Amino acid sequence: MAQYAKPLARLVEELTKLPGIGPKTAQRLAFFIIGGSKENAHSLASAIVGAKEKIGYCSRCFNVTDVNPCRFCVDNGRDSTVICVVEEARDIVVLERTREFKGLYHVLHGAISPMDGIGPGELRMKELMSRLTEEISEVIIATDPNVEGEATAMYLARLIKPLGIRVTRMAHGMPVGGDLEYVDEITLSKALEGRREL
Amino acid sequence: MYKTDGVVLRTRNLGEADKIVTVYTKTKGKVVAVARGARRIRNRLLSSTQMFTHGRYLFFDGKTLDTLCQGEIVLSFQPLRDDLDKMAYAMYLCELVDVFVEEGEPSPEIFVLLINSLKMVNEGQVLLALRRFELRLMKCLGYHPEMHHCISCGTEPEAIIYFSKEGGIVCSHCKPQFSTTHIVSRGTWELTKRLLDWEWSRISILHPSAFSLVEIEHCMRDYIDYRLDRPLRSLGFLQTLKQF
Repeated sequence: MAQYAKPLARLVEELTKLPGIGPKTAQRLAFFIIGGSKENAHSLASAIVGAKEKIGYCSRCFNVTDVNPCRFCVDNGRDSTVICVVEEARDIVVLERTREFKGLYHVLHGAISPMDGIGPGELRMKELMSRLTEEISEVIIATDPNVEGEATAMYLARLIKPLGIRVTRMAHGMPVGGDLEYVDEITLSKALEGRREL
Repeated sequence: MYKTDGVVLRTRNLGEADKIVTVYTKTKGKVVAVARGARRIRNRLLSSTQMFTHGRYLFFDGKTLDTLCQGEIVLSFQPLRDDLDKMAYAMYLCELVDVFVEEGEPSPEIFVLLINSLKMVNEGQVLLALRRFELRLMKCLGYHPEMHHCISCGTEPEAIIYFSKEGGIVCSHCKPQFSTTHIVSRGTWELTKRLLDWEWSRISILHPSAFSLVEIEHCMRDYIDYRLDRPLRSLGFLQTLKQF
């Protein structure tokens, strides 16, 4: 890094700390930033600082938010009897894009992964259980369809079912627009299992 | 480049859409490889890189990590992922292989043991599968617990048999020399010898008592802890599940 001026070297170093950014990409981004206008650089810097300072977690659903409780939790137009449980806050964005779900959310901030030392105690499960009042009629578990996600879903079902609340899991199936011959056997068997009448 | 059968022991996320998979293979032993794009929903490696999957894999050699290029499922072990208890037990088996076996030490015997044990867990013979797996894995790794003679004086055991984590059975005369010992009933002693020595095909005729399996579990827990330098993480989750 000695070949760069000190402020530029520092910028490259800081950018390298970002996920998925290697030294070469960091250099490219740094040169783009210093090649742009001063206003753009200030705007980027203030956006980073602003997001870091203003964004926190919702005290009810643990979504990332700038207001507490978050806009989903205080929205009277949403169905407050259904809670959709997701692993990460970014999963909410994906679900909202469907415009199908109108209930509330709960973010666990991870999934059970015994081999990585992540158990139920490391996730926001206690907080979810405290939200399950008589008003709640259904909990939709939308964790990832992998081993960790399935373990989390089954563990939550064991906790919630005795309360008499309906627990549902997102369906597994074939991707829209794909060819049947390229679908793997596990997905295909799950799709057959969850088939519906036309 | 090499093609081999393997069982996925664990996976970790890497970057945006990649995975680092640890596979126990038949011909190369434990292999840690990168599966590029294996977290994308339409990637061909998505299902064959799920934990516990027995598949036929194609690897390319790399400088630090090999690359997993193709995977074809031989046995998905899907029921293990559909039942929380079975999943936790299967994770324990995979973690045992992962922590005890170093990369580049192939053992077809361990590979067959792992596949057969996963099948037994899958079929519901969980406790027998676990105890047999622990004993046989130790044997394959060269940590064979001595079950015929006292590990201190070499005599045959008398009426009361003790098991020491330091290597096997101990007679009542030598017992004070060892820090922790478990009393083992004669039935458990006989069962342990059979689980260690009998071939797979004969195991199915065994119908051990729950008491004997619990005795072996206590002995093996101490024995494995003694051989390992860190606690097994999957055991914590198994304990959590026992609360239900």
